[in-house]
Amino acid sequence: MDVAGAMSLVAGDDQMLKELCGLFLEQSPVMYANIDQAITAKDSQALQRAAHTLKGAAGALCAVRTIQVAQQLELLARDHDLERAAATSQVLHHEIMALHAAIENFVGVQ
Amino acid sequence: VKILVADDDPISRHAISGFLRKWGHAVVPAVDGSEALTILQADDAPSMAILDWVMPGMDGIEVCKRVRAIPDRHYIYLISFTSRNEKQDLLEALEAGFDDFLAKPVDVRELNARLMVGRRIIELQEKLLLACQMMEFKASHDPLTAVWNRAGIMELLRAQLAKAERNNTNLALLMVDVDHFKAVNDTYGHPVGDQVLKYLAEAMTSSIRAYDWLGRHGGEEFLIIAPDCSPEGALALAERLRAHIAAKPVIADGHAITVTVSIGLVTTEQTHLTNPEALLGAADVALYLAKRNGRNRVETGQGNGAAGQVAL
Repeated sequence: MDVAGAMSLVAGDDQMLKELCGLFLEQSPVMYANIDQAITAKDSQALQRAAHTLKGAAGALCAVRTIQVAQQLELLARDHDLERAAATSQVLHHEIMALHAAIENFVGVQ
Repeated sequence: VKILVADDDPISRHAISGFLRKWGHAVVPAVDGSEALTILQADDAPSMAILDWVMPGMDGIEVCKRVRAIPDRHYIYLISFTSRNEKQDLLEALEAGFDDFLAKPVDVRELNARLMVGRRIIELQEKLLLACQMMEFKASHDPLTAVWNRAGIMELLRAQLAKAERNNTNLALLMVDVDHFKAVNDTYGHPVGDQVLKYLAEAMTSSIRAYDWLGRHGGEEFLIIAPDCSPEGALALAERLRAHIAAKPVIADGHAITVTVSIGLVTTEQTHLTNPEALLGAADVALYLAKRNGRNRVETGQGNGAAGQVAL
């Protein structure tokens, strides 16, 4: 998580950034569940949208790696490459977990 | 300003909404395109909307196109909110009817700047609308008394006559003329005469029913259109009006001036007239009769072969 970048987006409003972090901790499992579901259902359109939503959420926190992997997943879904998408979603899950740790660390320090 | 924020991602939605509220705006959130469209189609729709492009159900582009297709409604300033930032995307959004573009992830300073542009346009539009409404009012109302002017009341008479004929209901037309108004002007001067007319317009406005129409036909002559009113009801209305005005003098510029009115009353039921000019003519005849029979009185026109015609 690029704390300086995220802080810049909210023009230094650390209260707002903390709120966004809290929301991400709360909502990202739901967003990931949507991705997981779409892969199981082999619904590439739903997968594309779900990955896009997660990309937007990670974007607000400047979580660069999560954004990149979510974008990859979005493109794979667009190309109906569900096999590689399934593998990429595992990477994404890993990135989200790492991001959670980074967020908890950030919120704790604050 | 009331602003709609539509995004299926709760984090982006919260970031935008939070800042908008902090800046004193009222935020209406929507979680997908269909919800956004429903809100924007309502009569009390927000004047600004920030729409995410990729949303489940209906995307931002489709919402924008449908909002723009709604006829006769106040302008809604639409900002496309998206991580798609290719030139082709920008063109597609603008062509669909968006006014501006906000890149994801949202930067609070950019949000503020885009909002300023939007407010400028909305305020401009509100001023224009207000100016148009004022011009419309001025074109159809009498500047002295603020009641309908001749053109305005005649237009209403045409419309109300058509409606009465369609619904097969009775319409009453009252032609009210101030007695010896020239003497008021000659004795006290025209400014006092103007005050008397203003007072009379107010007195009549408070005496007629909420759905009757009052206009200044010219000089010291007023017209009242009373739709859906029986001949007896119309006579009672005219008599009430006459008595109300005669009951106490008008105080103008320190003078207590006794003013009375003569009223010519016609109804579509009694005259079988449906043409506005003909009905107006019949009212004029009845008014003439009221004047001739001593003023401060109401006379009812009977239409073709009426007492008024005979009297002429």
